Amino acid sequence: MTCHMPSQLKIHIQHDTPAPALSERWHTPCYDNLNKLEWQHHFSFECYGSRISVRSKDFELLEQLRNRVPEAAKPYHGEVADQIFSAVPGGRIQHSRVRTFHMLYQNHTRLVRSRKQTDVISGFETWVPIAVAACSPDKIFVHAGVVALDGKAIVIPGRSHSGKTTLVRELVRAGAEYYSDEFAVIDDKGCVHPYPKPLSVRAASSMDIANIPVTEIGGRQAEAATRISLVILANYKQGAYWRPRTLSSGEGVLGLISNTVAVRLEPARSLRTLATVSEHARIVRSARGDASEVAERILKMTERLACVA
Amino acid sequence: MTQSDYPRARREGVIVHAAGDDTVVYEIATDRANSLNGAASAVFNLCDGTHSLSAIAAELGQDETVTRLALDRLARANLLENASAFRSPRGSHPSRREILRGAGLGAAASIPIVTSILAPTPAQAATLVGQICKSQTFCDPNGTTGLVCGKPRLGPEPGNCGSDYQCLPMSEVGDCPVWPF
Repeated sequence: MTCHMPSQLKIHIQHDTPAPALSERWHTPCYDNLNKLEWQHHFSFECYGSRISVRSKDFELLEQLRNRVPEAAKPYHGEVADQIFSAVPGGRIQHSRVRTFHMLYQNHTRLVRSRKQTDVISGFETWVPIAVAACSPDKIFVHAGVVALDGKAIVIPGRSHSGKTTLVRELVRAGAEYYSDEFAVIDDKGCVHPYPKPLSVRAASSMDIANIPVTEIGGRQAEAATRISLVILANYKQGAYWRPRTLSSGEGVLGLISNTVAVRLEPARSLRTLATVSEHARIVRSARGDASEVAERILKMTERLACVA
Repeated sequence: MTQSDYPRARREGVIVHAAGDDTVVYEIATDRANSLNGAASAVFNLCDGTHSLSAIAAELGQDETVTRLALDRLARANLLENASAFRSPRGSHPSRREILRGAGLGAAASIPIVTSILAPTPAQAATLVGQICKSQTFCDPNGTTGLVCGKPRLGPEPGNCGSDYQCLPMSEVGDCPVWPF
């Protein structure tokens, strides 16, 4: 994976100020035990209202983690964090043959225990967006690709390997504005906000992921929130014919729920937001074949929606 | 008539939200989300403990068979307080096809449908599914994601597994190997 620095504002690593405390909601006795270790450096950021703090005694490791925070992250200087990531550096102990593990904790939970530091970094890259999505106080995160055409957002929910990024890439190539290939960040009015990140494209023959900036494929990163007009529940199936069936509002909400990150943590708010989306958007389901053919049909469908509106 | 003749919709421990003509009911204890279509929603809304089965049918102007089917579906989805009184043995109801044959295709919308799914955990809903893993704790660090670090099953025949270990639901691993420790 390529490394990307947060482009907007630089988040500074602190040495002399106390790190934020973990919020009561997530606090556990086990976390107090982890707190007893020595943590010399920390940095904190806020992303869509989620307050995340990261700490370690290894400055260089912390610097590498800082370079992998989501692009929308802003510095946070408050006293309480929703999630605290703790990175414990491992490696060979001086004058000894003992090698310790590199470890990464989220609150009190151990995420990574490995001989390789790169596993800590990739674990951090994986779990931080989930933490941001789970703790956002005013947005609902649906795992989805998002683009927009003439201010009408198209949301494509789906699990990994369902072909979201491929379809998003084709839609962007066909002229749509890029919002995200990972999360639809939805507010209580049913508008989707950009989640800026490069497209994560998997190589066909392996599991390797290449991060491709959207400008590289001739696209443009959206900057403003927009109303969701179309939700597409489509899984890739080789040779499948694109035959969209419009779902009822209830079926549509169910389709969105199965990709909503915080639905178990915030069911009432999630339901309210997703019901708002289903009121304003057309929700369709179909298997899909080749992404480039389907992209054209989806854009035509969106244009027609725009005419009706 | 006894109390068990008056269906009561669950109001405790559930979140009920209207979505167009449909209703979405989320069961907090089990994290199960149910979508009730218009016909099932209408019956659900009249399950207030004061309407009997025949009163509901009369109020909605529908056949009692359809109302009984709706109550059975709601009971099976655990959306009625006195569910056991309205759960019928399987096969005792006319099928959807039989109802349609009797009432005509126009009656399709009046057939009650309850669809249920289990809500995902944050990690299941997000990109963790499909991530390359090198330990079970990476996929399920605190026992809540329900994911395993295993090789994906690529086809129905045994032994047809992917080459990389990934975080996957057990159903997608099947008999393929899971991370050995």
